[in-house]
Amino acid sequence: MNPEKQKILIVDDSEMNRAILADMLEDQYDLVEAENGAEAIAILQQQVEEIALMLLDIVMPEMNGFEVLACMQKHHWNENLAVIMISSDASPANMKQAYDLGAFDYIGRPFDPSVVLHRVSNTMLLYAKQRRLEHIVAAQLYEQAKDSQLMISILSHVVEFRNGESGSHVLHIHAITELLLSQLMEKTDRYPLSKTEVARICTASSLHDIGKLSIPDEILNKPGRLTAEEFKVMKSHSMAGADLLRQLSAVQQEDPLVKTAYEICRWHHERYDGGGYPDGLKGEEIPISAQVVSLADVYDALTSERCYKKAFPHEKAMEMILGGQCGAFNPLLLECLQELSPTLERELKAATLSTYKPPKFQDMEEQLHDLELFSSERTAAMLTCEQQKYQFLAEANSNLVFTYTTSPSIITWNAAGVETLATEELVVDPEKDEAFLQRFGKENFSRLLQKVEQASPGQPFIRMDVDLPYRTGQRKYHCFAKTIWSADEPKEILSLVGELVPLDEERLNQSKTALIQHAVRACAPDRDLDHFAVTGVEAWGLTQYLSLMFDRMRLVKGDPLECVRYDSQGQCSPDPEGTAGLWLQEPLEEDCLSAKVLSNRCKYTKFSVMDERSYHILAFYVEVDDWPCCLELMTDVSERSLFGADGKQNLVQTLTQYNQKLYTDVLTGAYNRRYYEEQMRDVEDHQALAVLDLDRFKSINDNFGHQVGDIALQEYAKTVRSSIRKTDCFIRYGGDEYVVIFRDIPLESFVNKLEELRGRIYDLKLPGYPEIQLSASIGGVYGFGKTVDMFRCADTLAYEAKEERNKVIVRSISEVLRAEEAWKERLL
Amino acid sequence: MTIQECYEALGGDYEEVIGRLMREKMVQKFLLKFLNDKSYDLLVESIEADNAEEAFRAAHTIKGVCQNLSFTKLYQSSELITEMLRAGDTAGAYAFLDNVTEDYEQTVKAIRALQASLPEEAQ
Repeated sequence: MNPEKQKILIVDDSEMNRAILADMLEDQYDLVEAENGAEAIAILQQQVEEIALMLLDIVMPEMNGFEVLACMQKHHWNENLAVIMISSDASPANMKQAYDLGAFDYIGRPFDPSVVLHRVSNTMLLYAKQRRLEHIVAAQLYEQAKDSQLMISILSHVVEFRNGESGSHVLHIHAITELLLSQLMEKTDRYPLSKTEVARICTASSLHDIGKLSIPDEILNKPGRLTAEEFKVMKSHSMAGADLLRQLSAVQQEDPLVKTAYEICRWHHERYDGGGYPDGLKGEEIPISAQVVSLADVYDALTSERCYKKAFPHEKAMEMILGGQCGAFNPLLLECLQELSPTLERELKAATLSTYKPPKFQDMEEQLHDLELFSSERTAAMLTCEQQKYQFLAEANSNLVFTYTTSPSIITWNAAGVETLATEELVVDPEKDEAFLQRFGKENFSRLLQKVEQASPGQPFIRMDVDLPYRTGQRKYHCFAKTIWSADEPKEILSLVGELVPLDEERLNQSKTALIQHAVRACAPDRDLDHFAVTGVEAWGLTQYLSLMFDRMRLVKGDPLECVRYDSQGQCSPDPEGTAGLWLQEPLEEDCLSAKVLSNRCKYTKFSVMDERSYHILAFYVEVDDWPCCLELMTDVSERSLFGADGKQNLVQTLTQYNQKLYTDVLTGAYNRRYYEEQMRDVEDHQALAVLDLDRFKSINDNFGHQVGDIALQEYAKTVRSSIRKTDCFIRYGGDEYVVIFRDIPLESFVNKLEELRGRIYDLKLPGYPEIQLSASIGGVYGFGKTVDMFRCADTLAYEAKEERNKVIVRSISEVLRAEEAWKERLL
Repeated sequence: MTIQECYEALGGDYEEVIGRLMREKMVQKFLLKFLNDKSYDLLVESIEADNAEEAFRAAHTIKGVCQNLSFTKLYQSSELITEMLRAGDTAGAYAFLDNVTEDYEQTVKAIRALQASLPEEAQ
């Protein structure tokens, strides 16, 4: 059997008829024969994946053709397998019944071999094309959904960051909302929500508290009771969130996700009895989305620690909610919550471990498929199936879809392509068509052809970014295409199917601008956001802050163009990193982004593709100490999509997600030695590292026993963990020796932080053992180096500190290395 | 005997079949195959056993084969009996069966004559 040949199943009770068909087809296809319907079904059950097409007779013993079709429909087999009916009864009633049951084509007897051959090969080609297009369109929908989830997670992260909430609040809300909704859907059909709508509510749930951005810090993070006045301000956050969404452009407000988010923001503090705020809605006046998120919010608030309260255990929280102490809810939802109760705690823990859930590709493909089937079933009998199916997929697509065949050289466009490019639907010899080349861009087209030449059957995909005319200006598109290769050797390119997707800068920019504004407000309050000037010290603060939010950042000073950085004293010095690494692709030259920003004093953005990855760069104008500068912020769109929204921290989390347990020290909850060896040892971009050594720990073990020693270690670890930032990495290196790796920390803060740690450890009292005095000797190094080198140096310093105990020694890594060299020299 | 002469003898349309199947070799192959087709025997047995359903399918198959091979004469009688059987009229079909048999035997006789005139390896 030839694996390259496609397989056709011939079903006919007459051997003669099968032989005639077989004779026509056996040269080009692998054939399987069945002499009645039942046998056909048996064959399909075993090999439906392999069979590309079925020729089906109607009148047969055992099971007739219609019964076979009905059975296939039940199993959804005809989604990937085309059925052509062959019969001498070409009555309209028969044909209609066949089409209704999902047949693709109908051939009457007597048939002409060449017609049969053509119809068979066309049908197979179309089915293959359709599957490819479905895949492409689904991939694109998937990307878009992923993008918006990404932006939402960035935004909600900002909110959390500010609220000082535990990093998992948004994840919890998302998870509880999802659980409640699926329970609700199982229970009742009172709220007819589709799968898509449920997913949308879950996504939008992350945004429920965006209004808190407008609440002053003193109130938001006030421990203890709020005054009546303060509470009033606090309560304004739900309306503020809704207003924030109201300020989006009219088009964006039409987006179903924004609409859902609006409901949730505005009404997640309403009560089912009408006693909530801001509108006092009652019962089912409150949209179900807001009802569910409201309950999820209350549950998570109760079971988490906040600045004004401790965490309640699950049982207590359930008791309080069901007892009506925390608001009035839809009784149906309370029932759902009760039903979820036994597993809720465990499910939430699982949800927190996986921080970023991309939408399910499978689901998208299914939805798309349903949509497609729905529209095709109705009209299949009226329209030529071929055209209809291709057209549906291409024309329903607002992106630019094209197919290009090499010989003859023809490029065809869907409606969106025709409109955007003002081109003909079908362009013959596009490489010579001046009008077309002018619209599409001569250079773009030759680049595309070049990429086609570089493609191979193993690497059939083409990705490139192109600028195309859009309205009066230009717009950047990402081109994603696949080359289709011949089945026979030698492999040849038959055609190229592709799609051009506009890179929606507006959406990316908006969320980024929100981040920047937040940073600016934090570092230089009361400043004009559109055109603002800062001092050198403020510039330092701002860049520190922004570097936590963006992958790469550089500050470019004008006249001449130069990358600089400011230190905590406001002193300016050259920044070699601004022209290294990824920035190599963005050299500072006459017409670079920074030059444009500096000359026009405004904001610019661009997409850049390096090594198959997409980067988004946002550049804006800022004056530092009255000197014109441009701040460029780079985000790795692909990396963020893969590893979640908040960058490096999540990268590590993702890497260790499955190994969480392997990497955690059981006693102290810190990372363990294994984590250090596997994940940290060879990392190079740390800025500061400290080794902490507990003084006289052995004597605690000896005098009070190991149990007390363990308690001491636990308390000690707890103290350290609570003193460092979430982004810092705390590792139990061994016994009583701990390592803390600090990311992006200025020297001054580093020194202060270590002093603070020393102080807090010294102040630590073990419950029941007031006579034990703990202290730590701490060695810290800063500067850039490999973790393993930095560790060695810090360890030396900690050893040095141990001579005095309860002491901190900090040096730069180069200083320690120099001393080491000198010491080695002396030894020789 | 040529294939064209065979078609004249069995009352078929040679022009039509050669227009569709293109090659004489192929037509000849299917003509010979027809001799092994059991549909006619099944038709007779089923009508005698008063099994209308089975008889209908057999007649329908004969009709389909005749269409493919352009056996005009046998096609006409098999179509008539197919329609009778489709309507469940076994008595009518029983009465009409002789006509089908006559046409069938004429067809088989012509093909056998063709077969006999072929060189041995082709038989």
